[in-house]
Amino acid sequence: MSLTRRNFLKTSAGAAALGAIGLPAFAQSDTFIVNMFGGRWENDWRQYVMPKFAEQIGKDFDLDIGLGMAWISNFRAAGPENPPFPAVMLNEKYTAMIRNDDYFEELTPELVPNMANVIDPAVLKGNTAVTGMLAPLVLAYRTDMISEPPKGWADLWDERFRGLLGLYKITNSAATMMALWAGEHFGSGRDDIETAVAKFKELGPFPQIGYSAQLTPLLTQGQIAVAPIDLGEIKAMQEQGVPIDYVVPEEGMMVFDHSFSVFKNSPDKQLGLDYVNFVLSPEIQLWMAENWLIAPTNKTVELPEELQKWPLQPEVVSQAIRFDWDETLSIMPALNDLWERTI
Amino acid sequence: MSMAAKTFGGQRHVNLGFAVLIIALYVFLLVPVVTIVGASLTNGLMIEFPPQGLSLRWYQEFFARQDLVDGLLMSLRIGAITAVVTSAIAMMAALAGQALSGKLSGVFQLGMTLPLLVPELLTAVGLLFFLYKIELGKTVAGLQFGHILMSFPYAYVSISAALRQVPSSLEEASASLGATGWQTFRLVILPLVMPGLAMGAIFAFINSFDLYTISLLLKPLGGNTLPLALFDFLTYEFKPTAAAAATISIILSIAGVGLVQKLVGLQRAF
Repeated sequence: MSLTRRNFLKTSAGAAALGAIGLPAFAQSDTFIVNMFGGRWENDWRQYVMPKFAEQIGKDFDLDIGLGMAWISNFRAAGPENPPFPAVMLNEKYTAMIRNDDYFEELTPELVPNMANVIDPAVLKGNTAVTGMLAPLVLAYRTDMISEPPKGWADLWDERFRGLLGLYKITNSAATMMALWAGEHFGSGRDDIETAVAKFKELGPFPQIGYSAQLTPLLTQGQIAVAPIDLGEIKAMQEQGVPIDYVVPEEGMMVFDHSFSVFKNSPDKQLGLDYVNFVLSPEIQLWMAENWLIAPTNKTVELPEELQKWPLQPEVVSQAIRFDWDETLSIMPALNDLWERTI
Repeated sequence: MSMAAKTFGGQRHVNLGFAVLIIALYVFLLVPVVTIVGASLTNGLMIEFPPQGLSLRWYQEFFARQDLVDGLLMSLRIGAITAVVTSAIAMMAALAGQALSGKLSGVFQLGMTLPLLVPELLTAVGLLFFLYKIELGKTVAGLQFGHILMSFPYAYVSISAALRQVPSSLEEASASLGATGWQTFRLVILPLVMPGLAMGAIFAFINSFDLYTISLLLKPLGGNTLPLALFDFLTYEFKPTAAAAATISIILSIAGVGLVQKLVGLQRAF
């Protein structure tokens, strides 16, 4: 068939009609939907984890892929009475943004039986959320470029690492945590943002990266030799043959808390509670440890021998440096502004 | 040296400088494209240019990734509907705009291009709250609505520019020969504005295909557009698969321009 203007118009009109007819097909009210990060997180969750839960509840499932701020914008637009899905996974930074706005059910072991077995720090403020994915943040270094590895966070200021560091952008909660730690360590307290920012300025210039996976190429290519990064990235680099190792900082490691909450006004609230319970189950917690190097928050998980070398044990992650994100959120605007203007 | 020779020499320098400027401009525009296409063909594990060896492995990986392919399909579907619907609405708006005169015409033109003037993020946030109010939050229809809104000005500007080139005497002649308004539109005006209409549709499609911010906030439950899927991918896996996806987008854009050339000719479209 030759491509003529008439054919083009006919085809276009047909496509529009088909599209319009197809729209209602996207509505999936009978589908259990929860959120997840994209990339390999989505693929693994979709392929290995959710099918088990779907089978348990006898419903199809789908994932809402995205990032914290977009989810929060949607929850705020929808309001607490009309949540888009029953349960949500968020970085604790984002959970704190709506924690006090009457969105979340108070989680208890009666509602979520596996909560009875989680480590204490995993139960977050007001029982509004429970950490189901805990990603340790440690210090990675290139073994071929660093003769004397760092011992802790404070070593980042050692002259021997000058020009070899890679750090996170202040929009990443890792940079926020490090800035608060620096304020406390070098200054008068966690809210001493002037001291914190001044100390990080001393480290410059250094590449500032939005997400852990973007630090990985810099470490792999040797553009940087030392960086705070989560364990999963270190394992992936080691498996690719990159000469890299890590230390658990002597001051304590930090953690990314990916916490799970249930919307109290969701019509599927019970499914949301069941889902959180499922995520906290020993089976799923172990699966995440084995595949993502996520530290189990369920104390009953027995880590296999090959994982013992990683700092994933409940007693280790319980010692991590923790931050009150309600307080941190009140500091963040000024911190981010000062950081952006200074560094 | 005579004045004429000096002038001729000066003109040569100007021409040379202009040529260098044009070449520099082309290099500036094309280097990112060449880099990303080159990086997509690497056999290595990193996004890098020049590529380490040549391979199509990252294209294979792209098509093996359900999340990216689903994103591509959703972007194509949303883009196609956006192109068709936006062109139709923009055609009607352009006809309405032409019928107006004086200050009202200026206000109308400004109104039609407002989505370009308001920051996309603000439009997205406003639309997000509106869509939840009408129970279209997190639906494909809501996302489609946002894409049509954001792409409309491109189609409108293209179509109204084409419409201005149509002499009003043709309409009058058509009417005087007994044609109805619809017949005049279908048989006289539409063929003449077709290049602008096709170009507007292509602009709308390409704009829709690239939209990020509005898609981030309005995307449906369980769905992702390609830019969003790519950003998620780059956030958690910094691999050349993203370069392969970007190259596929570039090929689609070139195909769009090729379609315009085939249908109406690029010279007539501008």
